[in-house]
Amino acid sequence: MKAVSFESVYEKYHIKFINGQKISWEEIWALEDISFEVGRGQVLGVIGQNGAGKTTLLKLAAGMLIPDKGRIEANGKVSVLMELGAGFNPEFTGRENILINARVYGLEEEVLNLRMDEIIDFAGLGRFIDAPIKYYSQGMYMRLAFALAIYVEPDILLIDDILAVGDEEAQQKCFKKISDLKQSGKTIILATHDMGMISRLADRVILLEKGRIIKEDIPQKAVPAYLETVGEKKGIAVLENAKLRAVFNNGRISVDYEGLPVTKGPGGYLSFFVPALNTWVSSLNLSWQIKSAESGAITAEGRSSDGVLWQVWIIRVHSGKLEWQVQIKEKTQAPQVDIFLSSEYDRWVSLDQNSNFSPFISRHNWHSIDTGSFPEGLLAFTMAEDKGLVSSLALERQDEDGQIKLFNTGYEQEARVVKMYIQDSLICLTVSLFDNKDNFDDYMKRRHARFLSNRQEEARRLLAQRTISSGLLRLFADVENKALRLYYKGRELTAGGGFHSYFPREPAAHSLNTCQWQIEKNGETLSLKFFRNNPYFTQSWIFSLVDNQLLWKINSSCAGSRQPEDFRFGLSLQSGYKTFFCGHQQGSLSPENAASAEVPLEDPLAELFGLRKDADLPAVVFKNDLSHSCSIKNSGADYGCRILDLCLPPDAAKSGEITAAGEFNFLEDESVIESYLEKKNQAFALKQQEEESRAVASRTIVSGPFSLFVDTKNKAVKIYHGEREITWCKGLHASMFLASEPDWLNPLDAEWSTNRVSDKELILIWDYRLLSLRLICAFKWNRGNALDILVEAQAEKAFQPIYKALRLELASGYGKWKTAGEAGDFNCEQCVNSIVPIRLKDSKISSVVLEPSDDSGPFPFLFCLFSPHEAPTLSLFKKAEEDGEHVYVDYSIVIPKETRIGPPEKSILFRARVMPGDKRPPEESAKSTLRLAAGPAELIFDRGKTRIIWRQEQITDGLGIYTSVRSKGIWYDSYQANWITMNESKGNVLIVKGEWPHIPIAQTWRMELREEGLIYWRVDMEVHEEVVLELEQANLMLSSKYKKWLVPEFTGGDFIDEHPGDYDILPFRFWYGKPLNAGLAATGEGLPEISFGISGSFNNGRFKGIIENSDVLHKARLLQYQKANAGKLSPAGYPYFKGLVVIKPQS
Amino acid sequence: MLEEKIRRLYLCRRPLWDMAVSQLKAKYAGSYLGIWWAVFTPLLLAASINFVFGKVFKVGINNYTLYVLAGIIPWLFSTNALLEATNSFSAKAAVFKQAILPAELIPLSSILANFLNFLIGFIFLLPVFIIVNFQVVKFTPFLFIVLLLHFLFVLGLGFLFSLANVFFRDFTHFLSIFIMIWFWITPIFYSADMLPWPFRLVCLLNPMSYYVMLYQHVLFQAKMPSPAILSVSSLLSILFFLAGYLTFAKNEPRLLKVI
Repeated sequence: MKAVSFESVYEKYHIKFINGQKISWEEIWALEDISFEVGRGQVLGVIGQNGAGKTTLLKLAAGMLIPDKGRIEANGKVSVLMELGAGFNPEFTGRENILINARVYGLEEEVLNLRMDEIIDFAGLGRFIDAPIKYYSQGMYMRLAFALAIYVEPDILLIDDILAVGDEEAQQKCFKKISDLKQSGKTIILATHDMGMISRLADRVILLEKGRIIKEDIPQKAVPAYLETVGEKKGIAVLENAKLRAVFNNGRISVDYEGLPVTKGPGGYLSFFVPALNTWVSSLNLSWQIKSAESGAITAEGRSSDGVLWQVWIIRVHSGKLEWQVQIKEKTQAPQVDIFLSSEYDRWVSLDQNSNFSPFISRHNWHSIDTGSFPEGLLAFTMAEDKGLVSSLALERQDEDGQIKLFNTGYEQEARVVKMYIQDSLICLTVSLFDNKDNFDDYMKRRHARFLSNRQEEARRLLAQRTISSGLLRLFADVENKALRLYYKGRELTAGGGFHSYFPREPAAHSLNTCQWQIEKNGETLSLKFFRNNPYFTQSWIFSLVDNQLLWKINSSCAGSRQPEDFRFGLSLQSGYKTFFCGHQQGSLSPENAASAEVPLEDPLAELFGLRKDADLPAVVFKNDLSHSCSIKNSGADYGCRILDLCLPPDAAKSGEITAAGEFNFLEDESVIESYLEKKNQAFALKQQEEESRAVASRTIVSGPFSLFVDTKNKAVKIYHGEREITWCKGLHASMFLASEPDWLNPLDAEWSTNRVSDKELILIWDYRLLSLRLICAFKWNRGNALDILVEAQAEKAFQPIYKALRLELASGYGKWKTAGEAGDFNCEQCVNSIVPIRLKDSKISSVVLEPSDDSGPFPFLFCLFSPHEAPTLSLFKKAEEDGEHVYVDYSIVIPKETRIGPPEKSILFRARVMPGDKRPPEESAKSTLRLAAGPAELIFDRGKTRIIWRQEQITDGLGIYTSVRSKGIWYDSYQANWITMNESKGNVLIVKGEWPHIPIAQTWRMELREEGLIYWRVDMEVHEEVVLELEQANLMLSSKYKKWLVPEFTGGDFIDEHPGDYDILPFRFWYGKPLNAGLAATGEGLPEISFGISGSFNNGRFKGIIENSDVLHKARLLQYQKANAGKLSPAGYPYFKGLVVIKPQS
Repeated sequence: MLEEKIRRLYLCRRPLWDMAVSQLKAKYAGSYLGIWWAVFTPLLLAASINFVFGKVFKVGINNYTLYVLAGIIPWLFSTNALLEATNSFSAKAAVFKQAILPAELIPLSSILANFLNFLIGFIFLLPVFIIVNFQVVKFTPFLFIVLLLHFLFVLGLGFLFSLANVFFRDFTHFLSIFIMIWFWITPIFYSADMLPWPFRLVCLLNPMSYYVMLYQHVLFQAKMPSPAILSVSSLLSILFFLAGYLTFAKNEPRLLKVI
């Protein structure tokens, strides 16, 4: 059933023309002979230029106009959406206006009430629905009018191009609503300029021109027809040939075939950049004139507004083909042709590839599909499935290597876009169209076959032209892949690009890949030329093959005054090669070739280098007779090749030019290489020997039969007597323990350097780079073959040292040692924490003599330190290390807490001497000891420990009378402290004060020796800073000649003669308890009984008495009092201990 | 054709009513007295005419105020309706363009709005006549006939005037002058009998006079309208209505194009 029908409708207007005084009335026909029918549920689009009569037609349909002639029928309720906001009273609110207008539309009150909310919601007005309409924005007006027009449930909806108003969202909403109305079977007549909307909504379209229907068709056909006619008439031409129709319209071409549009939207046009205007211009912007139009061919000229001729287009159609030639007359930049093709094309095909177009994904932006130049400039478009909606087409550009880009437009305007960049000022395109897909497929097949055969022929021709061969070798310049390939017995030896040259140059490294290649074959010589313009760079290579030898010659020049540096020439070989050689050096290449790495070469200037043969790969020998530097590289997994390079020196280039030549040999018989290697190896060994002895001499100083050698390689300082080494392994070392470091400084971590000052003098520097600290050892041979050692520290910042040590590792064969007061051997085997102590006793000794165990042993020598005031501790011990047992002689010194090492002065750490001879060292200087004597008893205080001598025999051992405190689990003994004398030992009293290192305490001892063999001992402690002392002890260490212990009036027992090796002390603790007034006592054969008592005022229950054996170091007896503290001690003075030692002569 | 027009008019009865009512509302929107003006306007006019002609010129009519009132009420309706109908197309062009309405609806709604206004005022003023002369009650049924005839007359004229004003914009200016003259030649503040011949002819050639006289008969004289006048006015009403409407319908296509 017809919803709307027009039968020969005519409509005219009387128009008044006023020309000055003259007024004339004219009749203008707005519509003439309009006939059409719209079925129920159909959407009719009405398009045409302004003034074509669209609105008049709608008004007639609405009954708002009455035709002058003809009949109009409209069956059903008609709703009109025309001029914005019309029918609204601006003083009334939106709601009131809806009510009033809805009634005008004849909507029932009840229905209206039901719909009101829907209308308000659709219009999206929110609170504004209750505001007078005069406050509305244009978009609100539009939405309200639209909402009203569609919610009155018309049978026929007439819409006149009003949807252009409003934002994107509102437009979409309206568009969707119209689609819904269409779905629900409403009849819609839509007049608009929005071709997209027409295409998507309309079932049929009538195209009006000057009041007449000039086309009535489906939108796919009518819309292009409309677009063709829009524009200046003098710039429009239509070309037709059989089924092909092409329309030129003012700078664009649209094409259809069999009435089906091939192009879409703007069709084909040109765009280009005009630098003078700094803007992009499209051919549509030019003003066009058809210059000549014959059947099947036109010439059109496009001029700018100032009349300058920019472009000439020549378009021809013949036998199903369109030829489009564009000449660009005015110079422009980046001219390019865009052709919009129907979105029905979903597949593109070129001669060497094909693909389906991806779906439209980006709403507004173009989406790039592919880029490239296509062989023979041919690119065809077709459909995966032939739906008969478009005809397949083949596009061919005459300049075959021109760039072509493919795009999808945004899906708002779905089209496939072919963008072609114009290289010169001319582009010729041929578009062939096909009746059906079979024809197209045939055509493409033919073209493809021709293309392949051409290519093969070309390849054959090129292969011959680009190959030289000799013997088993063949060299082929593969221009397509920019590679120079070398074959041996038909197998390729090269990999990647084969021969190459390389030098770094801004902005990127130079490589032949980016150059143009030119090849010339001259008999059996292949000349290659590589050049590039920006930056200018040219190289020529000449290769020739002689038997299995490849001769090469290279000439390179580049622009600019800058000389190429690090110029390399070489070749990449298969990673099947596993072994390289270079001069005397031979080594294997990483078989995995996983990472790119240069092989370190010992002699990069070798005359020959190359790769050894491997399976069926022949050995490669690179002759380097000009003494350039060679390089052998693993490329890494990405390229998988071995790279042999010759690096030319920076001065190789003369005025930007480099010339080099050489040869490669490819050998299956490696005897040449082997004899070369042998020769080189011999020469190398000789040279190395020479060098070594020279080096040794430069680090040796000699005095008589003795010599000192600093072995910087193994990091050792060695002393020799003749050929026999006195020291061993690491030799002589000095070290420090810094508060800031977790461990002793290890000289092995330092960098060693030496300076031989004279025959007798050598300076060795240990440089701890990370700490900016240097230890400087000055060695000097003096008279009597005495080696004086001075160790100094030089630091760039302040350090706090805790200990320092000078250590000498002793050669085997030394069996005895002696100091001023003692002597011993090295036979102890009892191991404590992998250390076998031989002498770890603490008596501050600063010289020791070391003697061989027998006559065949090494020369005896004295090792002494010249810093007695620092109280060095001499330790002799064996230490089990990873590589076996080592014997050390070690002087270590506790450094007072306040001491700092730091700039600017050097700090002297040690002065020491190593002197041949077995003379017993002199007695320690007595200055540091204090002595009290009374009758047979003598009391000697020596830096924190006190010896008791009874009738010339020492009855104490080790530390004698001493104190010990424990802080945070570490014991600090009084002998570690720095002691000063408070009184000159007058009479029987001595007062000394000791400052503890490491912990902030000091003790003052007062000792008094009486004739009766009584020793009063009082200790006061000063705490400088808050500190925790868990345990405080006052001790008497007795000789192990004491065999019995007793707690008088209580109990007693025998000492045993075993001593705790580790800290497992309990089996050796004989008594522990609350002390009695009589104290703790011990007796021994031929020795006076000795007792150690605590003063009553201190015997307050906090001290416990202990009788035990000392550890294995001292092998002595201990009588001690111990107090446990709970909390921290604040800075203050504290009484520490008061006690009495009583020596009772034997009765 | 005519049938179709009547059908469309019938379909649009609701909008017509709405338009008339909203026009009436708009007339008094924002005023304090509102619809009371429909009562006060004729009263005030009658009072002032009474002052001039009753007291100054001493017109010899008993109950002169009532006499003037009986004529002024229909007169005010006629002139207001005609003036608004004349301007209706320009005033309501927007509504007309948007909505698909029969063109007749535009002048019709203006006249209807004024008719409603007139009726409301009339309902309030009728008791005045009844109180003064209870006999009036007996003849009020005749008023319906009078009102119908009067309405048809104004409607026909309204069609003509609205059409005229679309094509000749001068018409509305002419009309406002003409109404002044018209007032003087209509026997509202005088009686036709008071005029001597041949001047009485001026009065009798004025169609409005007959309708005014009909009202005066019923309301003032409390008698049945004279059959002669009734038949003349019936004839006039039908004549004017048909002439007006047919002219309007004939010119509608042109009218639509111009708007």
